[in-house]
Amino acid sequence: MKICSCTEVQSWLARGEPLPSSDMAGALKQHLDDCPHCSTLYKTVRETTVAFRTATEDTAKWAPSFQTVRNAAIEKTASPQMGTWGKWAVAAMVVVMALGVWLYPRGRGDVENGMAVPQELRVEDVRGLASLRGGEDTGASLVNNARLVAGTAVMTGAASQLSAKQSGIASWSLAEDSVLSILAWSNEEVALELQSGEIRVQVEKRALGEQFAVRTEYCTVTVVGTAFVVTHRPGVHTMVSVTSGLVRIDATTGETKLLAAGEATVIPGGRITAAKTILEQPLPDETPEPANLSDELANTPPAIQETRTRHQDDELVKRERVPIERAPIRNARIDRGRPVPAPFDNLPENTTPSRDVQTEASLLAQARVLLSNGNDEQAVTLLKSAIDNGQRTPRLVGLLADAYRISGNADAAKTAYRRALLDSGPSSAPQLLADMAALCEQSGDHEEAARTWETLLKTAPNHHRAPDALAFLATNAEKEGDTEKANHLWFQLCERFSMSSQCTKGFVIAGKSLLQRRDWDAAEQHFVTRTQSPNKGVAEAAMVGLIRTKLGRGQLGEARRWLEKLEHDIPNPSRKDEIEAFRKSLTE
Amino acid sequence: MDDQETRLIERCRNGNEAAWAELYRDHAPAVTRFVARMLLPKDVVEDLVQQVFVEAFSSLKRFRGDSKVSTWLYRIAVHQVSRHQRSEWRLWRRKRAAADISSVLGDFAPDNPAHHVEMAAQLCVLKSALESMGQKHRFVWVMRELQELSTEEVAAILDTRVGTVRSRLFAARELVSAAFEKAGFATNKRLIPLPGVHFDGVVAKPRGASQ
Repeated sequence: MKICSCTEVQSWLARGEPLPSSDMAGALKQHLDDCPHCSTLYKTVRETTVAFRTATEDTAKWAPSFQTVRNAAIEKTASPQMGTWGKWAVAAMVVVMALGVWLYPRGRGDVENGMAVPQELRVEDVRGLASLRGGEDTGASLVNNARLVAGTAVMTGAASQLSAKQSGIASWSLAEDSVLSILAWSNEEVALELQSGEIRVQVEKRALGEQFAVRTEYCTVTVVGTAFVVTHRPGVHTMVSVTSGLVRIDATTGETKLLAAGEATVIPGGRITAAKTILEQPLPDETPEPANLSDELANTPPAIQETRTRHQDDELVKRERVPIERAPIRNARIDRGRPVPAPFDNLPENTTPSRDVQTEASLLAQARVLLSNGNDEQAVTLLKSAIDNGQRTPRLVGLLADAYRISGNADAAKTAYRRALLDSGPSSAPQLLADMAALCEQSGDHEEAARTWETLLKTAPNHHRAPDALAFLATNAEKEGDTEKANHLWFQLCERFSMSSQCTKGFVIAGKSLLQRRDWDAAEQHFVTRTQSPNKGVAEAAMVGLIRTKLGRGQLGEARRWLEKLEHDIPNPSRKDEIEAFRKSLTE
Repeated sequence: MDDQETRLIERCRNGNEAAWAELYRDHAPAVTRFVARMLLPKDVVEDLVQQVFVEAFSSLKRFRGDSKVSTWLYRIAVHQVSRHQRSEWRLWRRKRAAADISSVLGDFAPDNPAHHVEMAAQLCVLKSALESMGQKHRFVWVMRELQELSTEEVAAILDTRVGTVRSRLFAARELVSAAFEKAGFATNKRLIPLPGVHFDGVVAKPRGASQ
């Protein structure tokens, strides 16, 4: 008998045609009997199709009443029908009016001193350092009112920002460390390519046929409506959020999605995730707890007494206490724009006491499908029922926590995160700690956020969210007036994560505190180590700080030497005024 | 068209309202289901069904009787749905259908309540697959799989060749299967790509999809 492959079988089933020979029919039946993959897939598709058909049978009730249809039909028959010539006349009028509307904005110009001036894209505001690439003025730093043309690129430095505008088309603002190429800029077509960083765009009303698009490595965002933000991390993802109107996203994979106001999406490597709505949602006064989890955790004291994890050599090791307190959240802002995470994907398999791995994977898959389709409640129900039925694995509890967080139930999310941490041990799931800390931070529970970030730093000091943890703890210490602790944390941040975006801020704050204390030795040591930093923002800040230190010590010759070095190494500094002041005082 | 249908159409042409009502009663449920299954919002479905029958009643004189009445009505419905979905902003409005169809699907409970949630997830995958499908493929899939029309009837409605209908149906079915496979609704570990973080991109573009 002929033997079929899975591909052949699925192809025949999709075709749904009579099989060419009894031999083939026999082979197909044999394959379906033997191959659980094909038989399950076939059965599931058929079963779901039948269920879909049955479930939508009742939509027949949506039909309007016969009387309504009859009246509409009689009205249409009775109304005078326009003749062919009449239709042509109306069409001609519409064309003339459309031409008028189309031509009007092009004849319009900004009026200055009674004279019409041509409209151009010009820089409206520059904060910090922004420079031009391409064209005759490559490398020139951009100043207010500078003209931007197609074929050039704009680059912003650390802690810098640039905004540009052309009335009648759009205004946009480029965040720090961004590179934007202006591929086309005219009334008819605007094409911008964001190579990295973030752009916020406010588009004015577009006439039919006028294109406005922002491209990245992974997608093209085309304006249908008015305002949106595109953030691109090269090699990682592109994130799009729409503040008003409507945009269309064409991913490089061929997927297309329309995003309306209040929605955001992430395109990791060209694949569009489900759009999520970002809303300011007040939580109900009494946020319900998950039924069985809350019963179980009711007896758990606010602080987790002890967590344990099993090492690879099966030795039980005591872990330190993780004090986490429960706190009510009111009017918390929940970030619904994040992609559905999988906090335990990096969890070692041996810490997952799963009795049925396949079932767990299937449950996780189903829950993620539900979450990505916006069915938060159903995902919660699915996960909770599985957990209540004894299938309590850290992965499932972790996803339940995410489901609660996405559905806006912050209290329940925190409880579930604690449960998951209790089951797995914080050292096994640093991502879970980071998510928990971020949730506490967002919901204004700074105390618990601080404790959770601290735990993360202790258990996974090199985690990719560690700079966030240090920055939060340093800012928190500043707010509490503990300058010494804050400085220590900022130093630590600069020392360990010199290329992180938080580093420049931390470096400057820590240096300023040393200068204010007139601790010249410490200041010199602090600044001199960063003068060769690859992060230009940090290098500039270091040299400026060092000049201040030298001036403070009265070493004018040294100060002049560093000023010359600064002017040589950083041709377009962002602290121009400060440097000019140095030059004047050193000349005098 | 059989004798009974010919007589009914003749009565309708003569302005017999009872005949209109009979025609509406016989065909409105199928037309409404078809329009709703194209994942359109409830209010749009009501409008489109009304437009289908208003168009039918007002153009009865032009109906030559070459095809069955149902085929003719389906053809008007396809035209109305296509016209509705042509504009991009209307495409966006289809998102609202998710709520209407989801509520319908959400009310659906199979006999065994324990399977309810699993079935809801499966329906979700199917709905996503349909949403991502091109309109031509969706027309064919809905008519064949949900409306249970024959390939020849679908070809007559869409005014296309039977072979074209078959190829579109093949592509649509493959796409649906791929969606289920990718979402992890199969058992063979070798062939299942274990679900990653994101599950919304489960549907691939069908082979030969023109839209």
